[in-house]
Amino acid sequence: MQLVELQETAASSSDLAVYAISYDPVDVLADFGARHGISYRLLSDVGSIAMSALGVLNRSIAADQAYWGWAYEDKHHGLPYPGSFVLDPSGIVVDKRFERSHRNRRTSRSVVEDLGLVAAGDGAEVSATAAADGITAAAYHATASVFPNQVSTVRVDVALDPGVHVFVPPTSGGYTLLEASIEAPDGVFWDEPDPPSGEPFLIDGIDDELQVVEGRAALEIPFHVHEKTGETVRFTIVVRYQACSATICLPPGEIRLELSLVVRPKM
Amino acid sequence: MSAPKLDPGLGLSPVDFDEIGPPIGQRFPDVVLPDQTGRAVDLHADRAGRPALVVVHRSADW
Repeated sequence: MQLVELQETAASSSDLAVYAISYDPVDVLADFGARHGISYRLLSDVGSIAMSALGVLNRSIAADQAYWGWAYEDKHHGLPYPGSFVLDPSGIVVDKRFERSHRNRRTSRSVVEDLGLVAAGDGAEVSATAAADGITAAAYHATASVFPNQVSTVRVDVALDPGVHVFVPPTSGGYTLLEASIEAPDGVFWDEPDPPSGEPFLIDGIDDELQVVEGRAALEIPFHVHEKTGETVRFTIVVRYQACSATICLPPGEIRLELSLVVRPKM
Repeated sequence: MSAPKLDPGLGLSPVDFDEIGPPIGQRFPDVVLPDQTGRAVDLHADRAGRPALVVVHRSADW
């Protein structure tokens, strides 16, 4: 569950105040906090009054449940969209992330990484690296395990040798663009990563619009694993590219990276 | 590249998540709620000038 994983994040950074708001009464939160060693603040919003005032309630949850084929029950009344806000030291909202379903939630680790409070890759428990064509690609996941249905992120760092570039959108002209995808068994769902931004690259006599990355690029692949509790899931991260120098372009290539993650029991 | 989507988006009413909750750039509203010890927590006073991560979630009980 996200609240347990959130404890690991709260414990890793004393510079960050962490709060979790739910509609549970105090005694339920006290019991949960004691069982899981929660030291951050679990806030009790009985009746979802504060969450309603914040404007985070999912008011179409009955229709959403029907769409997913799940029963609507009384406990779904007053549920928020699952998500998080990031506040700067003066209390200004500087980021917010919400998910459609309470079955899909981002890891707090990925939120904190995005904030720069923990360096991306620092202490990553799972990683793989391979190189070809002047390109070194590394894929990693912050933790060795994931909870079912929790949205997490595989990060792919691409480091290019000096003088090497790869193409990114909106390059035209039939070049293979830098992309990363996941090959994984049924039950693993993922989205295409946002492409990294590049710089214009001009070649005399060629009208194609070229955007390239030199140096480093990062891609983040959001994914979740559905109902594989207790299993080890093996992912292959496939990085595709076309590597060029100022004078020569190699044929399109790919680097394949293997990761294994354990799906933790539901809590 | 074909990817099984996290959220197929078909048949679901559209949600503009930018409209969910207070907008980026605004001060987070004052929130005073009891914590797991029963003590009333004023979120802004409690964070004492630190950046904060505020998570809203379903029940801890299920």
